Amino acid sequence: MMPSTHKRAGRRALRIFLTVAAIFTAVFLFRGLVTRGLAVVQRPLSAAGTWMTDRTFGVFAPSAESAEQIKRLEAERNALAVEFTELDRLRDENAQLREQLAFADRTELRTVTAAVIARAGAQRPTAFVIDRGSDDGVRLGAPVVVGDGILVGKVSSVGHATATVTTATDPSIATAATLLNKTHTIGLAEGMDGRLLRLALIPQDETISVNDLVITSGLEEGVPSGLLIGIVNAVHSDRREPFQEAIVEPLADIRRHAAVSVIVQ
Amino acid sequence: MNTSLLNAAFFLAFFLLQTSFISSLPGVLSLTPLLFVVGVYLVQHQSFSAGAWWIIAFGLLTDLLGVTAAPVSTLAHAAAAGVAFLSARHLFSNRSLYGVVACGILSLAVRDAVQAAWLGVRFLRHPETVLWKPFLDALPWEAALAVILLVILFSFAPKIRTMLTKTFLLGRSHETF
Repeated sequence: MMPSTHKRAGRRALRIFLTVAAIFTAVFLFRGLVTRGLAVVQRPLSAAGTWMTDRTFGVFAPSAESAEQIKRLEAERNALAVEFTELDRLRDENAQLREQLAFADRTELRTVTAAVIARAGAQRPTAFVIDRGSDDGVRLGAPVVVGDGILVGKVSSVGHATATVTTATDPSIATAATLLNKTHTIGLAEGMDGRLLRLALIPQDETISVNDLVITSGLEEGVPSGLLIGIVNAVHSDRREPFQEAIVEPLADIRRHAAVSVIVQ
Repeated sequence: MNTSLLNAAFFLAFFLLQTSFISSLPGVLSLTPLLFVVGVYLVQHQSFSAGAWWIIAFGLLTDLLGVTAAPVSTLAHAAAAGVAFLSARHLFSNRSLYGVVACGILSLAVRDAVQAAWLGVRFLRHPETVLWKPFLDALPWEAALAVILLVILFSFAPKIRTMLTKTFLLGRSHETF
């Protein structure tokens, strides 16, 4: 009895293994097709979870303001930040035009809208997958934004039909940035702990204040200038050191967004 | 063949639920290891070895589809599935809740240990790119949610067994609890 039971169990295990191997070979070979098919189901599931996250925002955080008020204030702040960035850009451009009596071309950004279809959770809290890939013009390193140009991350890997985006708060991501202070300090905004960014190596003689906005400088290939990165919420400055550091809080929380835009041009 | 397709269909449903819905939930709810716990439960309490394959397949698929950074998820889930399978057969009783919970916690610990080891290797080469805090903060919550899920599954054991038998995923003579 025993040997035939073992044989049956062994045959069953082999059948399962072969089925799994066949499925995964098919998935690997037809990845684009498979991911497009899965995305049809993933989009509404991801949107449902994100909706719950957005609706329960502020519920568990002690605050003097209600969740609705916080959301309203955040939306107002973001709209003002976008306006301020545009105003600052126009002021600079105006100054240059007056100096040179020449006209610069306004660059129209081409974007691709994408849905967030999967997130990695604790294993990789700063990454998510979108349902657009190289077939849609998405390329490695492309900036990803939400709203009116608030940077959330960059494309870190691309497939035919999907791409993985790593958020700007990941330590492996650095973005050429400009601080909207009096001197428009240029620096590198590096991800810190998955929640904040750091603008390091700023000379001590530069004046940085809390609530200064940080935007992309345009000095990085493929990342246009003027995208909002975040707002300074702390400055670490020691006069004995040659440099100071600004801690930047991102303006957008990707966990509350089910759709993003990838800048493809 | 039908059994295999049904297996694949159930696995896919749990996979999509895990990576798209659960991972988008607010706060600690996004850490709920649903598919992992279901797989361990099926292996340990229902003696349904395909549960171990589900766990391996989950790791493989998340790496393949770019949800996680390959090959850490495949390695971690393969190790956990192996431990779940072996401990269910040789270590823990499949007749008690404690056996089920112990198997679940041990498998989860093995999975997290492999992931931690991988992070450690990365830390040696590029220490600035490793996020220890979110990973370590998630561990107790994942364990707590896993225990809660296992208790719920254990309490529905007869119904689960009936469903597995009716769908021919499990033979009627299959011995479990």
